[in-house]
Amino acid sequence: MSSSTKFLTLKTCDDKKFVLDEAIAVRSQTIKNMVEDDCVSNVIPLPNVNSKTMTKVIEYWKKHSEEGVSKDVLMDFDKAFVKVHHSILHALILAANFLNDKEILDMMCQEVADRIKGKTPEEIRKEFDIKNDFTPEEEEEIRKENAWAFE
Amino acid sequence: METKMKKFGRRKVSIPDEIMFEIFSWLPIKSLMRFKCASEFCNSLVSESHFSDIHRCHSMTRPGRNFFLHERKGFYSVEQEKGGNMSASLFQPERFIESINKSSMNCANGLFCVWQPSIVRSAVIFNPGTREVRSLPLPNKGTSCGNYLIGFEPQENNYKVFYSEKPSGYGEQWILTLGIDESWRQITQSIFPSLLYDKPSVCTSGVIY
Repeated sequence: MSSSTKFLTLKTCDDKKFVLDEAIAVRSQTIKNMVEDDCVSNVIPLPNVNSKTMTKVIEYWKKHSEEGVSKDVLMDFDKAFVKVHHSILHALILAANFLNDKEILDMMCQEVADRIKGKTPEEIRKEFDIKNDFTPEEEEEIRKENAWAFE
Repeated sequence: METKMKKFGRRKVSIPDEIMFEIFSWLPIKSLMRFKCASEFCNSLVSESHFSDIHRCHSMTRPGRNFFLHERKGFYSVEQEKGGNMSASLFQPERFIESINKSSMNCANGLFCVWQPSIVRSAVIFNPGTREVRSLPLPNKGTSCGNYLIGFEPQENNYKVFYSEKPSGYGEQWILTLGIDESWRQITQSIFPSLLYDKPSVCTSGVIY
């Protein structure tokens, strides 16, 4: 990477533009690949990410790129970062997946897991819009096999 | 709840399968076993071996993990609580496996091989995390004083169970690869004649055959 600061412009699906230091933007593996393959024109379109979500992502990237931030500060930042509404959490996961940022993706998936771990199978179906494709007998069978998990 | 559902319904963002995989890989085992009956997809996801590998990997980094300590009396299940405290209790597979009491056992990489010495009955493989029990086929005509030894082969990512007909290690020796072999294969060359006798519960994470 060159030592002089280069800037990239990211354009979200709702046509908002974000100008960002390239060194920070390449936290996204997707953007990094584009930069390395030299297929970056002036503006990088992010068709799957909206501006509200991108603002959050950039907030995370900037904090984690700051020099001399202690681990404790980052941990507190992360703790506060994941305390968002359900819908934002989902949007952040999809954005992190598209941008291919494993760090954010893992953190967000852990948060979702923490939020759903106590739920029932019915609640899980609702939560993720999953269709129950078992026959009642099949479902009963699996429930029986794992009865201890329902205690 | 109602408004939350409505919002989510309106957004209609469906979560791709690979993300369900990611989210599930951070769940405690008890939740996973419960969510298996949500749908075919959830069930097959949890049963996939690639999934268990990732899940095991993630569990190592989280609080609440569980591991086993071997001591003269037997295995202790050690649990790390959220505050970092440890609590240990004697691990008694008899509580989970109906057909066995007064068992002998050894373990490798999270799986236990449990059997009842001096009774002609097949040994079982027990996963204390998921509480799943699987019976092994009987090694041969059914001798009763043999010893089993389970081992994990990291390179091929599979478990092998070694069976020695006589505790001394002499006599017939058999091997079975879990999930691959349907029946025991006899080993023609005698190996480790003293291994089973001296250290009945040696845990190897390498090669034992």
